Amino acid sequence: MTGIKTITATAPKIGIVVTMWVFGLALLALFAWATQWRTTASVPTAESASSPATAATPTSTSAPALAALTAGLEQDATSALASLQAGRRSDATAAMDAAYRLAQVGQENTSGPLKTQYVSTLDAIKSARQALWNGNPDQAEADLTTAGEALDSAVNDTQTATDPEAPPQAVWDQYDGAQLLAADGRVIGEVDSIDNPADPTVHLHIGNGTGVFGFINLGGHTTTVPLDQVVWGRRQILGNVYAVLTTTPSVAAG
Amino acid sequence: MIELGWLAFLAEAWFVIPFYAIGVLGALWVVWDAYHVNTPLKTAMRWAWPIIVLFFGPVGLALYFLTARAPGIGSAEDDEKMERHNAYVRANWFRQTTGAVIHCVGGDGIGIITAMILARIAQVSFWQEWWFEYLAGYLFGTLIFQYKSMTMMTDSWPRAMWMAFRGEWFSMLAVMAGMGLVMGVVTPLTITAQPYPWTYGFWGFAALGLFIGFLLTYPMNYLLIKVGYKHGHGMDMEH
Repeated sequence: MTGIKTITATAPKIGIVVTMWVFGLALLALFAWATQWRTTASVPTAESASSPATAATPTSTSAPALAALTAGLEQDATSALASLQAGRRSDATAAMDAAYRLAQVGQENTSGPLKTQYVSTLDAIKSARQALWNGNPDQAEADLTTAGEALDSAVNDTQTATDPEAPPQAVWDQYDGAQLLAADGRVIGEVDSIDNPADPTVHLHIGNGTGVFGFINLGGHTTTVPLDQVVWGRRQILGNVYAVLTTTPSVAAG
Repeated sequence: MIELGWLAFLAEAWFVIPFYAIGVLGALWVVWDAYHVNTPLKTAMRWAWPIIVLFFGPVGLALYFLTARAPGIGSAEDDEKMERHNAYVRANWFRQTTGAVIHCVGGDGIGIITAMILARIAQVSFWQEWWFEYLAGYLFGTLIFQYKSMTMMTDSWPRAMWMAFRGEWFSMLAVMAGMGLVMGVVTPLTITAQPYPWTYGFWGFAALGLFIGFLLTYPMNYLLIKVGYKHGHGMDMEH
């Protein structure tokens, strides 16, 4: 009888513990899904954006990588400004974050007058974000206008600029796991590895379930592209390492 | 994209400054009250309530009065205070559970916010920040608040430590899910991602994150009390 009493007393307790596990893990899964959804969502494109939509999503493999990145950045900045002016705050912030990511990569890959324009753009976008952090959307609009002006010159200059040099083989492994961005700044996956020194290629993992909790890949597919189709951001241990894929990749089995 | 612009007030001075002014003054008053008037509060609760009031402002003060401070305790004699306190805080599941949630979120909260400040200054990535906050919140919550509370339930410190880790484990899952939702979704869609600690938005959304964590961990703490892994308010424990 004592054994039966023990079992009947323990069963509800096990049930509660199981419920706690399920509830806790379900909450974490919900949070992870929502975060991935927000991170990988398409960057909203404002109807009033002055740039043609095709400029932000280049598909031509012949387009210079830096020009594609700059066009995407200009579209994001324009969309952010238009959305902010139209009162669509969430669209505006998504575009601003995308622009911020691209501007960081662009600044790392330019030199001379073009770098100056990129520095001005990045500073203006930083200032716009800071303005929103302090509840000042009017200042953010002014800063985004400044960013757009700096980008007007940059767009012209990238037509004649040469694409940045590929990273040397010695640092290739430092890009393993780098966050992969599309030319419009949205997160589309991560870099698996770079190999084949004779004809450098980049192995990419593309999908919305990439980098969940920072290290889990759920679904998606792998693909391989030539090294020169990717613009590489700053390598760092703390903080995001970005790589911008400036073409639409073909899907490979993976 | 969902529209969260209506939450932009959390980054505006007119809201953040008075909210935290109430929080700071309220927290100072709660410290005084816990040591001079509402003396039956357990030590861990005396530490946790000021943190909660600091970050939850008027909501924190309301919770303190509704769940932790028996009416008329100021005029009660010393030996009568404990009796009144226990009768009040054990009267229903709401006060019991709130007690458990308070010393969870209070402990976690101070660790999470400290980690968040450091992470934003270092400009780490979102997931690096989230894991750092998880670790800091878990350690603060377990080693300081939960452990202190569990020492009242057992004389064995290893057992108290085990009980603290066990209780905190489940609470923290829910707290960091709530905090993460605000950090990873709500804040970026309102004011862009990862604001710096010297901006209003940081503090406004930090408070919101802790509050969502508080709400999500509430049912978890109810279950923790049910299963006997934690207790709520009250000085002497049955477990």
